[in-house]
Amino acid sequence: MPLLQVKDVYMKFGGVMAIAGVSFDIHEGEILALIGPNGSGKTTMFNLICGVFSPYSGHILFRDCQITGLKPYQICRKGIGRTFQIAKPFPKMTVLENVMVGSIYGKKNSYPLKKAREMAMSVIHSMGMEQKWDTPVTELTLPYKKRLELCKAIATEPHMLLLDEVMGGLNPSEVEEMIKLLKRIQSNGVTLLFVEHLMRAVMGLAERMVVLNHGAKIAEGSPVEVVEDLQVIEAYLGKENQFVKG
Amino acid sequence: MKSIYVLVVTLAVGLMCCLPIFLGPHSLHIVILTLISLIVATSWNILLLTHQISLGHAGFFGVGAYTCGALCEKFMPIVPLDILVGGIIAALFAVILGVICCRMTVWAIAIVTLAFAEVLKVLVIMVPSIADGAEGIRVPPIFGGVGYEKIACFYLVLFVSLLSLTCAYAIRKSKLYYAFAAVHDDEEAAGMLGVNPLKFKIIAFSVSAFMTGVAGGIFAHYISFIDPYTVFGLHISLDAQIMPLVGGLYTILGPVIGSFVLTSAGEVFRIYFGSGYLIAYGCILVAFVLFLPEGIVGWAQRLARR
Repeated sequence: MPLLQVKDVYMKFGGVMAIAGVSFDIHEGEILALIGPNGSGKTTMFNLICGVFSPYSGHILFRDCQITGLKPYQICRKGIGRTFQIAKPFPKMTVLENVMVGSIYGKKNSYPLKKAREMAMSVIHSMGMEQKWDTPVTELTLPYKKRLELCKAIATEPHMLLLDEVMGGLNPSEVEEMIKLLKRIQSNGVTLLFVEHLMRAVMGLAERMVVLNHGAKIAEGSPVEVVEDLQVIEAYLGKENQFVKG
Repeated sequence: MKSIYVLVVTLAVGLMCCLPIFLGPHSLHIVILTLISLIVATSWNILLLTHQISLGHAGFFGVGAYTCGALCEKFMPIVPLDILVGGIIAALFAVILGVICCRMTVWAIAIVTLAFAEVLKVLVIMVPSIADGAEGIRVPPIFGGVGYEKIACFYLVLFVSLLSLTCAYAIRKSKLYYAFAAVHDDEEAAGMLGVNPLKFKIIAFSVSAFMTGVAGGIFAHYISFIDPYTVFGLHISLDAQIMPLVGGLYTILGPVIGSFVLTSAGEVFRIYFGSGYLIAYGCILVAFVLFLPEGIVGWAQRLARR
């Protein structure tokens, strides 16, 4: 049984069809990459899964349970964590307090404050941010802001994590570290679904890929299969001989 | 460090308790009014924790005051039960208002709450059958109007204002603070961490309104006569936000310092400038907003960090 099933989902913004009949499954424990050119609907897909939008039609099932139409906080408590493309820390609080929001409220039964603090601290340790735990988040550098996003999402103890471009803006060595972190998260039994533009990271991490273009799924399969798919190459680079003919 | 705080707070409370020995009736009257506005300012500051700015705390204040008045007129005056009922009814109004406001931006909330207070005022004025219209109603004094009434009132108000500060402190130290702060900074991100923004915004609204309603009830009993212009007046809503602004937004001490600084400044100006004192008062406010937007407490904290 797949962990998450997306079944024939449509999403409209006014007259624009942002997602047109996309279906895919994610299995327990796997790393799935969602890729596609700019504007292909990746972030919209994330927002549909997380409950920011509710789909125009179609169903999303998590552990065989309907989650379409639920609010983001309900979906979070069912065990789906999410990071944002542009990091959204709470600027008034320190790193620890930021992570504690997740560890207090992220589950069905909220933890008492003391336990939530310990749990947040252990997440911060496991993400290698222990030196920064008391720093106001406005003073963090970009790589740490990205890690903080991860910490907050992991503090909700999710079964599945949606990562929206966690590598964006990182330099090569930071990307390597982030890949290691993500692999460690996966080895703890968390299923990962991620959107990424950085092909090196995608090829290094993903076990399977789903490719979107103009809101429709155009390919699915292992990274090697997908990069050789003609439709995918077309979507990214345009048709062959386009310029000659044009 | 902690023991120093405890010492300072104990000293301050002890000093306040001794005030009736040193102060004459007029000064005591002003201190009582200051403490009442301190309660309102503290409650306004709690609402601000969720990034909701209210311009209508006079509405809750008036609801609390008029509930007390109506209960005492229709039934026996049952202090302090009627004050609590006033707070609860104000909180009910806040729940309704919170449901309306919770999806709005902070500026829209300010306008809606302003309208709320004004509508209540006009309603009471225009429909005499509600509560004697613009004439106002008499409210019996709490302690029977005997000689020590004012001093007794002072201790009651002091007790309630300490309660409201304790409540603000308890929120700061509880799980609620984390939800409030998350909702304040980014509702979408808060939702992704399992925080239901609407729920916590409404909680903040009703807690804030309850405290203001209680303050209104005490005010009604203390003054023993209320009319719509006084208890629904815009000056109450304005004081409620100017005091935290001057003292320090988002801090517990801010409303305390703000209320005492502003009231004493107002009194001093009244002595020296006569009826033109409001101009001087206004200038001070403008200066604070321009040069010290983090308030006195925020400024002191910044100095201490250096």
